[in-house]
Amino acid sequence: MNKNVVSLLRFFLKRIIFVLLILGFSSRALASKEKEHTSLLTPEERKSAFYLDEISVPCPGEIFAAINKVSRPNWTTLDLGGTAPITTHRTQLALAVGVFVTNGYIAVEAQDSQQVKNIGRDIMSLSKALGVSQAILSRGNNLIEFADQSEWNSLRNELEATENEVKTTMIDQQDRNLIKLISAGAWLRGLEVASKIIIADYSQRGANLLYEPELARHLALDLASLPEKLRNDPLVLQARETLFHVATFLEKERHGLSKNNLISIEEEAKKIVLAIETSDTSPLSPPPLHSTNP
Amino acid sequence: MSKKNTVVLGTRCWVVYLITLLLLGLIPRAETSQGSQQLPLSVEKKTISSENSALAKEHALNLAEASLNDGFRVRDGSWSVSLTPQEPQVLEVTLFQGNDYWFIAAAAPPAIVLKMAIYDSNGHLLALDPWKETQKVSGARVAEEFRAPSSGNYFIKLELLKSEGKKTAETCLVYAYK
Repeated sequence: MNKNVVSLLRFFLKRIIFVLLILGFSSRALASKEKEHTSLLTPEERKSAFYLDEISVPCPGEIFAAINKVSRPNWTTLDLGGTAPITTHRTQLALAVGVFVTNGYIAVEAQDSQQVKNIGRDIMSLSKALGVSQAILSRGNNLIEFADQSEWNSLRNELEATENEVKTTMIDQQDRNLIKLISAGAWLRGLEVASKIIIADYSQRGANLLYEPELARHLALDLASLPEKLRNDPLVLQARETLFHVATFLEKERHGLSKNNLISIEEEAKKIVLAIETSDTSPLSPPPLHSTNP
Repeated sequence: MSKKNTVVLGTRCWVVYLITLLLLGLIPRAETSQGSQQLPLSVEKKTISSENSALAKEHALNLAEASLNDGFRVRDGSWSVSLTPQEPQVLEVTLFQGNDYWFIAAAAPPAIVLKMAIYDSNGHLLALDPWKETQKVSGARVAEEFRAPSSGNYFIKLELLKSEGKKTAETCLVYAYK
């Protein structure tokens, strides 16, 4: 009997040890597989990542914060552009909102209260032309109030909030296609200003700040995906081409942007921004787009 | 016990062991594809108006505001997403070299454990979430301070590791920069 019990115990003990060994190896294999899984994001995961205008596209304050670390620009000497363009073209108005929001950030960096107020009024008049001014009336008042009190951090927040409020109102009004134009306008103006600053005090470190080919391509593709009427607008075409050129250019210059590269980028950006800011005075201009619904 | 009975017993034990291992999931099964995630629109204002979504955003912003004392500026935009346990979601962001960032995510109940990871444009893991929760809040929160080594696009992966009843939780991510 004892012999049977001992042999039975030996029998089970061998099998228990075997199972424990299997468990041990398996859990190590699983742990290393999980570690491998966590340490790398697959191309499929990257491709299917969310890309949201309100958070994936940086605000102008971010690039300017980065520039302030590598350079000491004299923000007060930078050209803040003219007044808001007078036009009935909604595409131009939307692009101009983006440009003027960026101008607001520049005025904040320059700590120029009067310019902030002027730009705030320009943004309001552009929004009025777009039919969204009621929604951002309080934002406009806040901009003026914060400018009077020299609350620069609050102004930065308010500028971004104003831009987002215009975009939200556009969505509510079934006009979401124009949102992409606002973002494109803001980024192109930011690119123009950033290039100019880095050219004036060139360094490789400064130039590397602008290495954003993926963002340029995203914005270009956004414009390319607009409905046909908007997509073929001359200004939209020009903005899209500029973004594609910049994206391609940046992708080629992976090893660093030279000063000449930056000058080319700045010139391209400057051209489109100038076109956006120019009032529409031509009697032969195409009829205004009253609605952007497809 | 006779030899024959021992062999029979042994065989039955092997069967039991194999079944146990299968149940424990240690024998790999064919992975089922999750199906391709539909590509999101490049611009979309998700108006998830549930209470939990608002709560998640409130928790995230409360934590983000703590960074204001250190000179950070909180972005106005946010990413609201419904997380299902073990089904991570990824957000693409554009960052600038030299800027410091705080990424903060909060999930409303029934979330219990939330995880965040940051990857570079090639998908290499850069940072995990070292910030430790110091206050008791409903749901879960994670945060990561991060200095961008270069300008470009990065990816933030959020994963709900644990939730009550393995239910979906409304989650919100915000970020601050300086």
